[in-house]
Amino acid sequence: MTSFLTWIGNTAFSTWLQEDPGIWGFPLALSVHTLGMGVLVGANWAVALRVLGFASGVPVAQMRPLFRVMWLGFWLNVVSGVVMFIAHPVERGTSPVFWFKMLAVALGMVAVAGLRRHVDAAGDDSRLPAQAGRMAWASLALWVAAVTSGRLIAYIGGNG
Amino acid sequence: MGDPSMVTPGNLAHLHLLLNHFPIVGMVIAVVLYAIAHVGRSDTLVRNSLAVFFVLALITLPAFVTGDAAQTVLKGRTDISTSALKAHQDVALYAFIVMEVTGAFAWLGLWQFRRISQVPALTRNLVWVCAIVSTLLMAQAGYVGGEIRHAEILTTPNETVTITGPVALLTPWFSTASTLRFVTFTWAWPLLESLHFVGLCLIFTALMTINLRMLGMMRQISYPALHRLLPIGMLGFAVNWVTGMLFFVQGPTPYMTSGIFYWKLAFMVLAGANFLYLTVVDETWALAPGDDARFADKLMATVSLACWVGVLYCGRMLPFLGNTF
Repeated sequence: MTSFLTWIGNTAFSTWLQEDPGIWGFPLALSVHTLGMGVLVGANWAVALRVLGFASGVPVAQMRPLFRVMWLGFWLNVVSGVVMFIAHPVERGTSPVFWFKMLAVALGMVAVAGLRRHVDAAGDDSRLPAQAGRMAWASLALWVAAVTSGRLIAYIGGNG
Repeated sequence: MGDPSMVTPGNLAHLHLLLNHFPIVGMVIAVVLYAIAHVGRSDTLVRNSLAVFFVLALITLPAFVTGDAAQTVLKGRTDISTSALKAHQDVALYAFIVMEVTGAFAWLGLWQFRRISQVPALTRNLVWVCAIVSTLLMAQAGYVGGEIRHAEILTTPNETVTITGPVALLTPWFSTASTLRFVTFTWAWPLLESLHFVGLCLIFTALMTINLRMLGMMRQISYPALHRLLPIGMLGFAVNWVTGMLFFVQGPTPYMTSGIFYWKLAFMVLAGANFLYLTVVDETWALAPGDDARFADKLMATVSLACWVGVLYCGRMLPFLGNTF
């Protein structure tokens, strides 16, 4: 495993990401990653807050297009995230904070899928089962965990 | 953006001297308007005054942060009063904080008016108190600020300027020089950074959703229903304002010398103006389920989304294109 990570770190792309002083490598990936975060989490929280009773005048079923927005944010962050991993494969691959974040993101996307099912099932009266509320709370908590641990990667063991 | 000569402390000091008049003079005018609105029982004028308070709070942000540049220009000069400079810095900090709180309450009043067709007495009174306190603090900040470079207004040439009045009680335990510089890298900075990013997500929750509706997505949702999300955006704005200013005061120089930081400020002020627009404008409020927004509103929504991407990009690029951490 470690030798594989080391191999990634020695590829030309990784070297370029680590050493290029310009803004089109690592800094660009970092910016896209932050934008993708805002898009994914923002759209998810809008739905989650509605499910929890905020903006109750909004028909739940009409928020369906926001799930496309969430997936757009997600894929932006898969691509930019992979690029950033390639820049520091050994540091990230062996960092507990990084793997904690991966877990939070995976569970966060499970919550996205769960919320999606409830929004799809909601009729014109926007009535939702209690389980939808639990899924909404899980969304809020999991993304706070993912965002916080993501930010901490820069400070706990490793650069970036 | 990359040209460092564009952001030499010299021309930022100019900007400080230009902008700092707005909150001082503006607050006096706005408070008088607000008083006339109450005497004349004019709801329209109340709302207009609240909008002016909000705009002044926005302008105060660049007025405050450019103060550090003005100080850098003056550093080492013998024809200035260093005691006045220090006093100005502290009073300006208090004035800035109360001004921003005034702007937040003014915004709340405007938002509530939309919901219940009146600005509740509690909000009005909170604005009264904060507006009067910030007007007085602004006046005092301007007063001691003038003494920095105008020896002719000092009683004696080498007079030591001290903070007088009730504000003097505050300085021992809350000042720019010491109290606020508590953030070390051990835990506080990373924690505040995380909060700053959570705040960004809250801003996106409200403003991305509302602006996407303006652009035609989720057209079956009425605007008044989405208007309820605006306080979530305001919460994110507040969290990021507090955490952002805490970063800034730890050491303003890296920010001050980063051209990209001023782009971020400009995008923020523009995005803040759009926030006010979304809160008060009648045409957006009238959007019923299925209604297409006006072209002007779509343009506004595009500009707003672009501004938030700009804020985010410039913020994230501070360590790369600028000189911060």
